[in-house]
Amino acid sequence: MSLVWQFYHACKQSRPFTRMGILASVTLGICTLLLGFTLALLSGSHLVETRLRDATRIAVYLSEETDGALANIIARKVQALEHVSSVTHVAPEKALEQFKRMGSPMADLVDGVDPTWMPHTLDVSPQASATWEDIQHIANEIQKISGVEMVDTGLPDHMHIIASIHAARMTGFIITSIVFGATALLMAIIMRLTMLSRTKELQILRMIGASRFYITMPFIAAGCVWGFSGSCLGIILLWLFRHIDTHIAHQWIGPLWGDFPFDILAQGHAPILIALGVSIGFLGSASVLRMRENQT
Amino acid sequence: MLRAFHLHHSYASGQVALHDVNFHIEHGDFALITGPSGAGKSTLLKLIYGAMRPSSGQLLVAGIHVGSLKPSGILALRRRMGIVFQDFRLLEECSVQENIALPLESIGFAPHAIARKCLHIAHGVGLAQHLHMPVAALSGGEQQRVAIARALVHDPILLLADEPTGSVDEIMGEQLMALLRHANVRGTTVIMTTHNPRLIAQHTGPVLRLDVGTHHPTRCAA
Repeated sequence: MSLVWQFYHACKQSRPFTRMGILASVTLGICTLLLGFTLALLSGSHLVETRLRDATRIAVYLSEETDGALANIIARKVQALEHVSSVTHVAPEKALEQFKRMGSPMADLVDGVDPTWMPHTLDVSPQASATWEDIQHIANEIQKISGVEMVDTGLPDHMHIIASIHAARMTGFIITSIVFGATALLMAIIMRLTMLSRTKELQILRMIGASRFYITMPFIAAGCVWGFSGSCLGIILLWLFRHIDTHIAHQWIGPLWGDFPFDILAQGHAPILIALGVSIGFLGSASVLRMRENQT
Repeated sequence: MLRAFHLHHSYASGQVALHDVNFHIEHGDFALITGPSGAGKSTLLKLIYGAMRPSSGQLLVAGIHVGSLKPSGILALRRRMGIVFQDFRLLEECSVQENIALPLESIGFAPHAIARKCLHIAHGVGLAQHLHMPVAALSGGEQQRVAIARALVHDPILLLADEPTGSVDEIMGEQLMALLRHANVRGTTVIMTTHNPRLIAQHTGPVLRLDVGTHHPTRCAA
C-alpha cells in the first residue's frame, strides 16, 4: 500500500475536526498570529540593523601636517585592513564643497575659508559582512596609523538603536520559544484527551494486531492537519490585520514603533508560519508515539 | 499448532489461574476449552494471544514461544490470528464494513481488495445487506457475526473464540457454531471456550476441561 494512501487513510481515520480538533486548530491559529507578529518584529529588527550598518561610514581625519600624497599612502594602508570595502580620499576643497552642498544653515560660515587650513579626510566603507565589532576593530586599527588625527565611526550614536534592536530580537526569540512550547504542550494535552476518548478503539486495534505505526499514524496525521488548518487560520487573521485601515493602525499602534519597518505577513512569512504550525502539531501529537510498549 | 508445557499463571494478587496445564492441539483441530467460571478459560486464551505472559511453563503457538515474544512480535502473531470476544468489541459508531475491514487495513491491503474480501465474508456470515449499516443498529447475534467476520476476513491460521455463543439465544448460537465449523473446514484451527454442556456433548473434536487451578484433558491430543 502506497505511503500516500496510508497517509490519506490515516487522515480519514484521525477524524481531525471533532470539538477537540477545532479547539486545537483555533489555539494554533492564535499561536500563528503571535508568531506572525514575532516574525515581523524579527525581520523588521534585522532590516533596521542592516540599513544602519550599510549607512555606517568611518570618517578618518588626518593630522594638519598630512598632505595629499601622504593621505593617499594612509588610504592604501587603510584599504589593506580586514573588512574594509573601499576608502575614498576627500581633499579639503572637496570637503568644503560637500559641506556647502549639504545645505547646512552653517554653510555661510565656511564661505571664504582657506581649504589648506582644513585637514585631509578619508571616507572608509566597511564590507557588508562586517559586524559592529569588526567596524570598531577597523577604527582601532586606523587610529594606530601614523598621521591619523581622529577616527569617527558614529557607533556611540548608533549604540542605543543597536541595543534596542538586540532587545527586540531577544524578546522575539523568547516569545517564539514560549508560544511554541506552550502550544506544543497544549497540543499534546488535547491529543492525550483525544486518545483517551478513543481508548476502546485503540484496544480493539491492539487486539487485532495492528502495528504501532498503524495505530499512531492517525494521531500524527491529526496533529499535522490541526497544525495546517490552525496556521492557515492565523495567516488569514494576519492578512486581515495587514489590510485594516492604515490610518487607524497608525493611530492606534503606530506610536509604539514609529518608523520601525513592522511588515506583518511579509513575503515568505506565510510558508514559514505554515511550517511552524505543522511542526507544532506534529510535535504535540508525537507524544502518542511514546505509548508504553507493554500496552499490547 | 498449539502446545503447552507445565503452563502456570497466577495474578499479582497471588490467585492461581492456571496450574501445570499441558495440552497439544493439532493444526486444523476444532478444540473446546471448557470448565466452570473462574477456571481460567479466558486467561488461557489471553495467554495464547499474548495479552498476558505465563508465570512459568511454555506455550508454543505455531512453533513460536509466546512468552518470550517482544510486543511487536505479539502484534505480528495476532495478525495471523482471529479473535472473537464474548462482548464483541466492535466499533459501534462505524459501519459493518469498516469493522470487518480493520484487520485488512492494519495489514496494508489495497482498498479494492479490502472491499472485495469484506463483501465475500459478509456474504458468508449473512450480513451482505447490512454492510453499510452502523454496527450499533444491529442485533446482538448480528453483531457477533460481524465479530466473527472480522476475525476470519484475513484468513487466520488460528481462530480464538471466547464464549461466542454466551450472549445469544440457542438458534443464533447454532448459526454461529456453523460459521466457526465452516471456518475450521476451510483450514483454520479453532479454539473456543464454552461452558454450554450441550455444545460439549455434541462436540467431536478435542476438549480441554479446566477446573479451578488445574485441568483435565479430554479427547485432547497428548
